[in-house]
Amino acid sequence: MAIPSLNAKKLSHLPSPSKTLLTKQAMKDFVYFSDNTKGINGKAVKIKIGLFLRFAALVDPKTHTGQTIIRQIENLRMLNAASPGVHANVHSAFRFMLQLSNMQVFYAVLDGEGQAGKEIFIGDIKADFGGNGEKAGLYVYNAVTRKYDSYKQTNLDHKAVYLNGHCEQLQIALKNAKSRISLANADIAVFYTPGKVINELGVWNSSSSRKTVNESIGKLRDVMKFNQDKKVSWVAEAEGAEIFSNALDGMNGVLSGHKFRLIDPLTNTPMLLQKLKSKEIKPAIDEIAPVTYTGENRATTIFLESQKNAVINALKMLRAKNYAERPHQNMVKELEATADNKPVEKNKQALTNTAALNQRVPAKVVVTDNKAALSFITALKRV
Amino acid sequence: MKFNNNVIGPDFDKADIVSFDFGVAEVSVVLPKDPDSDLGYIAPQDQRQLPTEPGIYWETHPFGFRVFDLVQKSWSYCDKDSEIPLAFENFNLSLIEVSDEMRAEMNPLNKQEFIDWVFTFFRRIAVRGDSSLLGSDYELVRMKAYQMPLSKNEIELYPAGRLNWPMLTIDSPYDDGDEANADRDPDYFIYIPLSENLFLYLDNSISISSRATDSGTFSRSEILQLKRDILMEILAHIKVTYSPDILKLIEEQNSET
Repeated sequence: MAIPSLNAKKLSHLPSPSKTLLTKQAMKDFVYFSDNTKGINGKAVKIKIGLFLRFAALVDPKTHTGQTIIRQIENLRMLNAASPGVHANVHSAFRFMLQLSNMQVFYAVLDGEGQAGKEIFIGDIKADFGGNGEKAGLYVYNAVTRKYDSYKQTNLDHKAVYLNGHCEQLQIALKNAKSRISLANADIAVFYTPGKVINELGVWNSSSSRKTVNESIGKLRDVMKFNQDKKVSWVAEAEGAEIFSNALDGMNGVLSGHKFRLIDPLTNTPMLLQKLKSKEIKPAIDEIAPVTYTGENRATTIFLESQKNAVINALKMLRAKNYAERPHQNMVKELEATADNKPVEKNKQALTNTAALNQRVPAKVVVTDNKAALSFITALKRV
Repeated sequence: MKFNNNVIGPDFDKADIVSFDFGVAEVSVVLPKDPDSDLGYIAPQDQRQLPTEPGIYWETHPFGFRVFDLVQKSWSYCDKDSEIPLAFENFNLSLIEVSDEMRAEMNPLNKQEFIDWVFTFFRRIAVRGDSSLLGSDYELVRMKAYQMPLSKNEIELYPAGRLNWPMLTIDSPYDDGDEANADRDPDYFIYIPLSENLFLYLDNSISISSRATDSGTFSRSEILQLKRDILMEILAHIKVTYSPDILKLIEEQNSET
């Protein structure tokens, strides 16, 4: 069972750069971005339906950030190549990229259907988490300065090490660590993974560029080897679980004194649990489920939809002495109760149906606000 | 507030005001909120009785005094048009309880004694508390590596009425001396006297997004100016109100200055 691939060749459905028109065949893969971008006011903005899963994972329309991103994409209807944030592709006419806070939006300006004039076609989006140049690696509390110092190696015996998911800076990772682990500062270390490394993770990108992520994983593996015979608790959140999982791959022997807890893991969780078992890393023993889905991480919730049954089965196999059995069983029950609830899949299908219907009606009918013109963002708000 | 280079930050006039009552003084700080996150920590307003039971929000410093967390919050500054975050503020405010050993050395309400003490404190930080290394070449090397002020004259004082607040720079170097060290800007530790027994310290760090530095739109001096402007706006929104007894002590302690 694998997480759905997010890879898509940029604008793969668009015609060659010399052409300015989409084929009828390619057109059926696109829907209107939102009700505000149907071409009534400014150029129409359309987006490829296949991007729904990744977009839904990156953009929560209920948050301020999500609403800002949606508004900025809607504004493409008014923008031109000289507008702020728009980058023209010098090798390819009509191809542009809009830089947003957590993603890049690749689009083309092409002739639309019928008399519609130029339209915007979004053919790809790519996760692009920012950062501030802080290095990936291990950070340990320095009681004298009350700051966290960077270490290549250090003794982590009896410490909890937090592996962060996507966050904009080390300080946020430290605050997250403190909110997840109720221990004194001196007992918490952080293995920090910055945004530029997370961009390269398989969860967000399946391109061959994995230089910084492999470097990061190597650093974590070195830390684990150095502390192999110690007692260390690993608390991995979101993408941190993917880093953790990758680091375990190159470990020889077992880490039987180590414990783990996963929070909103954004990885192939059944596979990670299997690795943890084979390395004899046991569930944390405090009264919190060893694998917790909080519902707070949008990307985890979205990606979990397609692997929920496999996760439930893997969690049912999880057994250890003295672990928090009751919270664990409650977590399994909670997941089982929503196993058949698949809003992403359902709404993506609704968009596909909309596009198919649009093929059969004249363009001027499509631009009106009718049922057939379900937009990408309307579908997103239902997820 | 709008800064240079089209950078905008939270509106301090509309942000929450959080206050702490220490009995001898009341402190209020303005804390803007990240619209999508409540992450961080704010201690209870009533700080007249300091806890003695062990907890995760206070600790005993290796040099013997107790430190209590008051605020740990972050917020961001972004480009006005694209709304892409360009700078992140990390506001960590703590309370330090003066230990008996410290009290023998200084009174925080005495401006000169306080500056002397914080400078010596930084020297001790640089040598990790090993007093035998004070005055050695090693101390100087470490102070430079930590980007600390090298003499008392280099300590900047934030003008805050009768008492100035010493602002000392600090940054822990990476352990491998690589190129990442060269790009670091120090953070500020700002010390605010409250009474003969208490003072605050603000660990204020501002990190700049690589979107600002990589694009080349911000020069080094513009980044330093932005960080400076952000810090000054924050400090201008910290208010300390002393009790009449403390005001009298401040006058007594600084009568010759």
